[in-house]
Amino acid sequence: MSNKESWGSRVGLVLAMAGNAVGLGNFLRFPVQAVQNGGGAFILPYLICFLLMGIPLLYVEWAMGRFGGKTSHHSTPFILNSMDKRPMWKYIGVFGIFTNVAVAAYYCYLESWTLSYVYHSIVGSFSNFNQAEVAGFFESYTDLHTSTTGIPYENIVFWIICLLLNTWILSKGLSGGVEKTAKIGMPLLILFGIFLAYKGITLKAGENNAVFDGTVGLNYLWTPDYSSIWNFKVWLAAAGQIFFTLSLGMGSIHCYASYIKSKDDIALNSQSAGWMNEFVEVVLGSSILIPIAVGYLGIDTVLEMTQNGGLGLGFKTLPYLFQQWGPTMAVIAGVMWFGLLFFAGITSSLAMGTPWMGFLEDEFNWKREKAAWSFGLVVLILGLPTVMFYKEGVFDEYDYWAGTVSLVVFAFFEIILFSWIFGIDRGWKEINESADIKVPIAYKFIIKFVTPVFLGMVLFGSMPDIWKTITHANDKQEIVYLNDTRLISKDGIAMRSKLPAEWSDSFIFHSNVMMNESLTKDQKNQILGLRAFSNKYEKYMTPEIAVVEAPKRIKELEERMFYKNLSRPFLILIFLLIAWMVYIAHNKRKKKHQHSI
Amino acid sequence: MNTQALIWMVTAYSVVIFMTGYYFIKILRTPPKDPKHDSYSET
Repeated sequence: MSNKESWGSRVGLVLAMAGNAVGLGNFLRFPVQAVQNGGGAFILPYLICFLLMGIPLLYVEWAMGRFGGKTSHHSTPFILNSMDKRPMWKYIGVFGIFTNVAVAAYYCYLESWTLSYVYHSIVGSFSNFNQAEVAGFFESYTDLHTSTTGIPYENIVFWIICLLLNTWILSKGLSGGVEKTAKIGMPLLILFGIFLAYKGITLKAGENNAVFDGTVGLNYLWTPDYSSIWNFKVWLAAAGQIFFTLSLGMGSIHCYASYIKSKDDIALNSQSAGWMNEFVEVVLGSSILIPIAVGYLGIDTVLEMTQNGGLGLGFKTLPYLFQQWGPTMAVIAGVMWFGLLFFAGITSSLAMGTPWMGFLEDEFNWKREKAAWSFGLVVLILGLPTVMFYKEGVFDEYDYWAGTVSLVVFAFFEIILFSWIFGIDRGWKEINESADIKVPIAYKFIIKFVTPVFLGMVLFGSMPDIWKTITHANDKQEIVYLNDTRLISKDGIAMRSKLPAEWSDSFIFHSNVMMNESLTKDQKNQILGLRAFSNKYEKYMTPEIAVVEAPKRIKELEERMFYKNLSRPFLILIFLLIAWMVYIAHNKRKKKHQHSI
Repeated sequence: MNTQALIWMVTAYSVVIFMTGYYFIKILRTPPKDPKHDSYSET
């Protein structure tokens, strides 16, 4: 994306920027985060985080991008360096390329699932499947040695098709590729979303095998719980979701905004793109997955199924639930659901390609096509471990370090740079330059004080979780249990003893406790905790099974830890390689500057 | 749905839909500052 690049139209820019933000997370991550953090308890912190962290960071990232573009910089290492000459900023800016490349590595694989599931919805692969078979289909699909279509290495084939499509679109440039895709994809996504949201909200108990009304899920999602304001964990989850959904701390917003000239607005553009993302997330995202899933399965089951994220519901359950709507509607709903996920995915993955391309074009004078194909190749190489060792947890490891931790680290540094080093007065002037709206003055204070404090709290509040991930605490705990199954029954009994003795097992394990008004919030959480524990370890309580299954599972966990440990230095190596490229680019610039003198 | 949930949902949906529509319409209605030399090649 060189200096010759430009956006075709303002609407195109806003749609591309909104497309960058709108991703699979809007439909799969947001509802799951909301459900896992107490439904209505989550919404209030989420909205406050949007106002105090999301909006300010949108202003900041757009302003930084346009500022860098004035000196022909389109990637964060040199955008940050144009704001402060100290060399450290160039290397902090490496995050803005690294994150995009590393996230694209697993994200394109996820995107390829949606493409494949559109195909499978059309050809009717899920018809006559029961729920277990639909879930099994997903396991087979992600298993390299099994094919659901007869095509060998089917998942790799779809992944490569997806990579080629991304690369080809990127090679067409900003207005000819990225913007055109957003102009087609975003309206279709919204259209599909509205249709499915309508189906979700109007779901009626008793019709098409539904057990509850769609509004039961909405009720859970939207009943406010004001006590959540004092729960730090919920705030962390809400702040994390805002980051993820707005694509903050990635470097892609900077890159898109760097193609805007200084006499053109960023204030209105940033708000339009940000709110469009919120529309997709809050209005559409909350009205599809949860109402439909709760309508058929009940809140308790949905809670249990979302323990490991939204992929389970989105890919392993929804295709089965769509079958309940009849064969024709199942095809329509399947194409719409996976189609909207695909459009959400591709508009985001395209944004991930542009910082890498901008960097190569600016610093190494690469042609756009060459830069685009190099992105495809890098994603192919980096993504291969996530495809081949998906079940060993490499995919999740990339997601955690590149797609979660890196975002917060980078955003924390960029807000310090913008507010305190570049200076809030200059920064405020930059935000307001050629603005088509009046930015509320309160945001000057918020950007300087509130957002950095918020980000610092998110970063330091995440430390215990980061430590747990580094040390594989959960996997190790599981191994401890499997090595001595007496501990399972001891801890299980301890958990059970916290609940009233008169409650029967069928009440604890099989009733819909989340809809039971007579239970307190703590009791509900205790029951859900006991159920999760029981689901995980119950089978090992039979000695004959434990003898066979426990060693197998221990081996599996040890393998997971091994592959996760391998992927970490690999990611660090990628970061260092990009930092080295930045170092070379910097030296090139220095030499050029000396020659020109 | 209970009343509280309904109020929250309708309020949140209304605010989000209003703000999205407001900003997007403003973009459509704001004339380009200098059509010949702005950031957009089509205008």
